Amino acid sequence: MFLAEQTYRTTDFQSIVENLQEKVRNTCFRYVNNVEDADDIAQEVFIQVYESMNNFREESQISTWVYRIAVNKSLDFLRSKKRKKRFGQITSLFKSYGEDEEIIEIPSYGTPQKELEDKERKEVLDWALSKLPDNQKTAIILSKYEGFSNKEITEIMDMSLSAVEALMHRGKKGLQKQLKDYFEKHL
Amino acid sequence: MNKQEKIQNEIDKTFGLFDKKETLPPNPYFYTRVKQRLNDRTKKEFSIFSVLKPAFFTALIALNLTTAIWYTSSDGSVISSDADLELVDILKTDFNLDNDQTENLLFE
Repeated sequence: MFLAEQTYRTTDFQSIVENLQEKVRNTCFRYVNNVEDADDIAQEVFIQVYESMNNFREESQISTWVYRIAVNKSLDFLRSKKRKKRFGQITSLFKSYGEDEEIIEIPSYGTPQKELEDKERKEVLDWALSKLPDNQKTAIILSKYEGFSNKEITEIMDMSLSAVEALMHRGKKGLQKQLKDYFEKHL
Repeated sequence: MNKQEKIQNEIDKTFGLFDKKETLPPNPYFYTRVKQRLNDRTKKEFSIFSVLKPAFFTALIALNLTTAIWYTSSDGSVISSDADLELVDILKTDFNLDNDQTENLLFE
């Protein structure tokens, strides 16, 4: 590769990382609920972006393409974690529950009581979200957490608008059901 | 407030968390880490290739030499198995060929 092209590519890449890193990191975090894992996946996302930049066809915006990679990488991570978990159930007989689970700490503002309530509710919400099928989960995360418009979600998920709307509807219903079941047991 | 109302209230509060967007604190070293990982990967790929390339060429030369030695040492005769000879006999009978006819055909 010529030096000029390499320099151009690096400058271009740096600006992509600087502009999109926060949203990519946060999107990954919504899936994995762990800062280190989210950072790790986000770094992998940008490595793939760097390696595939020459193949990027400008049919969609570069940001859409990057978010799509972020969603796919996060889902891959969850699948691989699930596989490991299944395997780990055998070995978990020798470990105490939650030994290697990290506690998520995101700075928040409010009274300690309110913070505790919100933290508990957040855990319940994350649990309910994790029970949804991948595509419903993605639609909800991109819309509700990351504030993407339905049109942007159609581009990221490569689906029609009606399909995304249907996913959102089913996702919300699914969440409602999971939460209802949970609170019926725990209230 | 009855239980159903309490449950609905909790569900509404939980859904309300979507509006309180908590974001990860910025990571100032993020780009540096990505670059570092890219560099590590390039180095690793380079080292794999630098090992694989000579190994591949050595294997290729060895294969060439083996083929050459085998070719020069063999007398070129074709070893026919019983099954092959049987097949030739069957074909001969089917096409009414005897040895002389085959030779005639070849001479023509």
